[in-house]
Amino acid sequence: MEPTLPTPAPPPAAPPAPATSLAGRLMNVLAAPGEVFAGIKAAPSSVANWLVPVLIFAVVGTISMCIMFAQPAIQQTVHDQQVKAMDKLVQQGKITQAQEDQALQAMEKFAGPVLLAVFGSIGIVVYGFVSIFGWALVLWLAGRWLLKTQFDYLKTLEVAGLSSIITALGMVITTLLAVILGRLYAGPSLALLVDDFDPTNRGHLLLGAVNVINLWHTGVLAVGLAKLSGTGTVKTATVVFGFWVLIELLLIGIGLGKWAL
Amino acid sequence: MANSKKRRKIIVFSIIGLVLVTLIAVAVFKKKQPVITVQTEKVIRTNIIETVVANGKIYPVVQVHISPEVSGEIIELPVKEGQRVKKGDLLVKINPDIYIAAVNLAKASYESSIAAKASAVASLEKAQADYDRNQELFNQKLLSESDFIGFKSARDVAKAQLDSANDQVNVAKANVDNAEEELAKTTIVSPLDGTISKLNSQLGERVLGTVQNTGTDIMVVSDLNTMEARVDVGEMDVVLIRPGQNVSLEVDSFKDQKFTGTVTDVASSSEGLNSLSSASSSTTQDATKFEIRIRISEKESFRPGMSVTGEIETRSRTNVLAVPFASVTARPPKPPPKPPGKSPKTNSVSPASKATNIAKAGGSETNTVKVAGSETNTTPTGNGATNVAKADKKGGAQQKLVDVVFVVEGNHVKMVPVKTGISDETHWEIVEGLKEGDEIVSGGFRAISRDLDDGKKIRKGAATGEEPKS
Repeated sequence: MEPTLPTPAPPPAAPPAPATSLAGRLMNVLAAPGEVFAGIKAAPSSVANWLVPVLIFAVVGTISMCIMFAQPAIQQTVHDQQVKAMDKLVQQGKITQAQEDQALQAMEKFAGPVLLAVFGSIGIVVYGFVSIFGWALVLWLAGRWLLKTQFDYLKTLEVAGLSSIITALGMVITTLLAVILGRLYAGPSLALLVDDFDPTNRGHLLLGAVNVINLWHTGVLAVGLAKLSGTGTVKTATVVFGFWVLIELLLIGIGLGKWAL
Repeated sequence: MANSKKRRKIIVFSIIGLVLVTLIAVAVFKKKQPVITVQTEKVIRTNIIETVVANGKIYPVVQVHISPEVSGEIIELPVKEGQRVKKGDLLVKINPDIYIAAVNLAKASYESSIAAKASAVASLEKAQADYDRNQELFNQKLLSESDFIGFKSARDVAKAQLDSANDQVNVAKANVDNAEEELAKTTIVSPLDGTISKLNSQLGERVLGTVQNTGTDIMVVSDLNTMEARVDVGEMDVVLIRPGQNVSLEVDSFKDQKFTGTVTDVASSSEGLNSLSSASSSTTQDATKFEIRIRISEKESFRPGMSVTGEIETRSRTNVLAVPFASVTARPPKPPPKPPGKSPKTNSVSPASKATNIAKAGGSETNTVKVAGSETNTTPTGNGATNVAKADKKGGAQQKLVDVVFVVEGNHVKMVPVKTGISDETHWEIVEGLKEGDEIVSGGFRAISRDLDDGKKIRKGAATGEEPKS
């Protein structure tokens, strides 16, 4: 009987990667989202991963609304839009000229910049929560139905939450551009090429939808879906970007294009 | 691998940081252009009626000043102020005693002259009879020639005396008529149906006649059924007024009523032009005024002297382009654009520039006017005076201000020169420069007259002055 060679000892397990702090994850999602989402997949679910970014988005959005609606040029744009909408109602015969004048006077008196900022802030906060829960649902459903993979909804929530830091950064850039240019719709998009942006013009809205921040955000979501599902980024990018394009076209098509911006 | 990831992170964060810092720097240090709050209106088509407003008083069209032709004491004054009289009614009776005496004297002289004539007739008859008788004798050579001539002469003298007596009778008759005429003038009756609008004299007063003097103005009789307004207009407006123009009248005593009238007369010379002190009046500061007479159409219980304000419709235009009155202001015209490369910056008034610079008093402020690439600085006067420096090298007239309107283009305004026509209280007629439907700045006053300029940023709203800078 031949002597058996001793079984070599298994190599020592690699030491576990040190857990990144929340701040680290928030910063790294901008530069290395794949790394962040790989860690998310491996780590237990954490509420902070989505709650903190959405709160940051809400705070940044509120401050942005206050700054933007304090700009006289933007107040004038809002006023002009109100007048245009009222003129349209008068032309359609839904209200009289006198009623329009009364309504505009009331708006000027009671719906000043403070009220606009308040309502804008509330809208931004609501949008922040709706956006991440909505995107989380989209990613989860895409994983289940299209990619045939299973993962927790909470994981997609964390992915959507961390990605929203990009939209918060986009809000800062949009606010700065609005202050510099004196325009309401002044995001980092092709709409900057249009002098007299009209939010009711579908062509202008399509240009506004081609927004650097939106594209970046959508790409990071695709990376997150790829990490969670274990599939290729190209496939997940096709799914996520395809969904984004559909949503943008739908909103613009049904007259809610402003929300597409 | 780890190094490349780290490098990638550094690059991404650097780009994000650079973008944010750049945007923040631009937002903070960007030149803050003030946003001016204005009100706007559209250019419309409307009718414009230009009016001239003038103040004056109401007078009767027909007004007679009653002055006596003879002097004397008023012994009867059966009328009082405000009384209506008919033509022929007794107004004044002057003491006729001396005039009755004059009539009697004249009549006596007349009787005397008639008697003297009768005597002359008798003398002539006698002389004629003597002549006839002696002529017979002279023909029969029974009388000398010299005696015959004597009778002939006597007859001629008698004839002449008769002629003289006739003349005396005529003179005496004329004196009687004159004395009776004078006597008749002691009774003054009304020359028209009217109202005693003013009574200056009282019973017992001595009045002077108008024969050798200006005469005492005893009373004024006016026909109050036809009244006119006599208003004064300035020399700038009088050239616009013609007889026949319609007038709206407001009488202070009848505030709730509006009256109408028609211009009947425009004075050919100004009031006070022919006064004795015209030489001194020419050095006074009184405005030159011309009297306009306006026939009032309505009959109302007007009284002479009532104050009236008239709006005379001088010119009108139908369905013309019009802008609110406050929209039009005067500014120096924009200088023509210079070709690039000329007129470098200088610190003196550029001789090639045609801009007009206005220096503020006190030397604390200066205005700079950019003229297509050249910048011109004005020098403060330092002595409180405001001066206008002409920049044209060739010399000549200062640049004339032009009428402009600010047209709204988005959130900016464009200064558009316009040509105006007539105006009423609310609108200017626009002859050139705008089209119907253009949106123009109509308020606030300070914005239009001072703050606004070509290309400035605006915001529509209630006029509150200059907004915080954007």
